[in-house]
Parts: sequence; structure tokens; C-alpha cells
Amino acid sequence: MMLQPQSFAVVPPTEVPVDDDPVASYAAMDSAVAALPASTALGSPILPCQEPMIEVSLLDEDNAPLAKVPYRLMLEETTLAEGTLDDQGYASVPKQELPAGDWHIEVTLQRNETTQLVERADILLTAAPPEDEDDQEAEPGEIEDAQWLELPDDALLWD
Amino acid sequence: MLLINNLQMQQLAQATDEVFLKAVAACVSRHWPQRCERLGPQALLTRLRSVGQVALGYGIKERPDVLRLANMAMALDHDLSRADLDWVHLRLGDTRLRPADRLDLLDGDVREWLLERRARA
Repeated sequence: MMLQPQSFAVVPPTEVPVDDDPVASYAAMDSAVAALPASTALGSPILPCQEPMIEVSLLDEDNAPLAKVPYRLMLEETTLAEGTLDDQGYASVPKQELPAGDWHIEVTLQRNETTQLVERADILLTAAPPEDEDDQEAEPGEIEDAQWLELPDDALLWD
Repeated sequence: MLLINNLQMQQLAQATDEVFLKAVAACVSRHWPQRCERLGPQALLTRLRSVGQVALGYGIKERPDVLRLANMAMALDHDLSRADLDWVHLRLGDTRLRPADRLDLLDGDVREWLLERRARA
């Protein structure tokens, strides 16, 4: 058998433009911005004095604000503030700040038994225990450590 | 006694806004180096100015909020000016909520969008 000569065309590899990892880049910049102190608004040349405060915004399951709902803000067993949320479900408690660390936020809505309307929102802040390094889950996009599964000895036998 | 009139205050404000725009560009370049390189400095500033205009149009004035919106624009690779991003403008235009709360919700939408795109790729 005689082999016919074959010609090959050399095709240059397609260059795929390098791009940022959108998930990682977005998360990284969001974390960096969240760490920034509050600053002045656009259109204002004046820097405000930084004052600690706790801000609360409550929305329902349809993302509608809990407008004009009375609230009670508690830190562990201490009541920090009581008042009424504004039209946008917002309230600020000036001259209050939390110690550094992670905090659990639990919101309990006290409803009228008959009408089911929200009569008060109780917001409880409790210090979160420090995370165990072994319990950390992988961030989206990261690959968790592979685990080998132990197969029985006859797993690969064919009938 | 030094008196600053309204016109001078406006000029001072414009100057600080320009400085802020460049700070936003620097921050964005750190986290989106490839996309910024592809855009080039002028196109990047044009995109960020557009984002700033969109922000002001929706009453988003706090600088950290504008930074968040710039981050979203880079994630979507879009200047946010056109209405083809209906879901973004719907969220930004929800006047029942404070601007920061709208951005919190939009943040969730953008993360979901990014993860869906990654899953499809």
C-alpha cells in the first residue's frame, strides 16, 4: 500500500483575550468598598465629621420597606433604642457602635393576632462565635479539597 | 474673615468630584485590570462618568454607593446608561427604598447574574 503524501496547513492558535474573573473581581472590589469609611456625597466639598451610628433598614419578603413600623433594637439583653422606622423602613441610632467582630442579627416581627399587621419589629444583635477554620466553606468559584472515596474491593469486577 | 460664596462652593465641589472620579478609576483598575486595559484610560473615564450620571439620576450620591455602582458596571461590562439593562434600572428606580438598600438588592442580583453566566460558560 502506498501512502499518499498529505499536506498540513499550519493554523495559528486562536488567541483568547484574557479577561478578569468577574466573580472574584466583583467580590474583591465590593469587600474593599465596604471597608471604606462613610464619606461625603457627590457635589459637596465638605467632609462630614465621622460619628459612629447603627443604621437599620427592614424590608419584607417582597423587598417592600416596613414603613412606619415601631422597632426595638437590642444588643444581647440591653435595649439600645426604640422608635419608629421611617417611610423607607429606615432608622439610625446615633452615637452607637458595635465592638469589632461578627454579629448575628435576628429580626422578630410582632404581629396583631387578628389583622396580622406588623405591630413591632424586634431586632436582636448577638455576638457571633469565632469561626472554626475547619468549618470554612469554599467561596463560589473555589474548588473544595478533593476527597478520595473508599471503594469495596470488588467494585471494579465485571460480570 | 474668609467668606465663600455659593458659586465658589460649586466650583470646589466640581473639583472634588473630578478628584473622586480619578480615585474611582484607580480603585476599579486595581480590581478589574484586564477590562480596564482593554477599555483604555479615556474610555474608562467615559464609562465611569456615565455611571456617575446614572447614580445622580437615581439619587445615589454617597461616594461608597457610587463606587459600588461602578463595580457593578465593570461586572456587567456596561456603562449602565442604556435601558437594555431593564432589571438594573428597575432596581435602581425603586423609590420606596433608600439608595443604599436598592444597591444591596442590586448587589444580590448582580452576583446571581455573574454565577449564572459562569455556570453557562
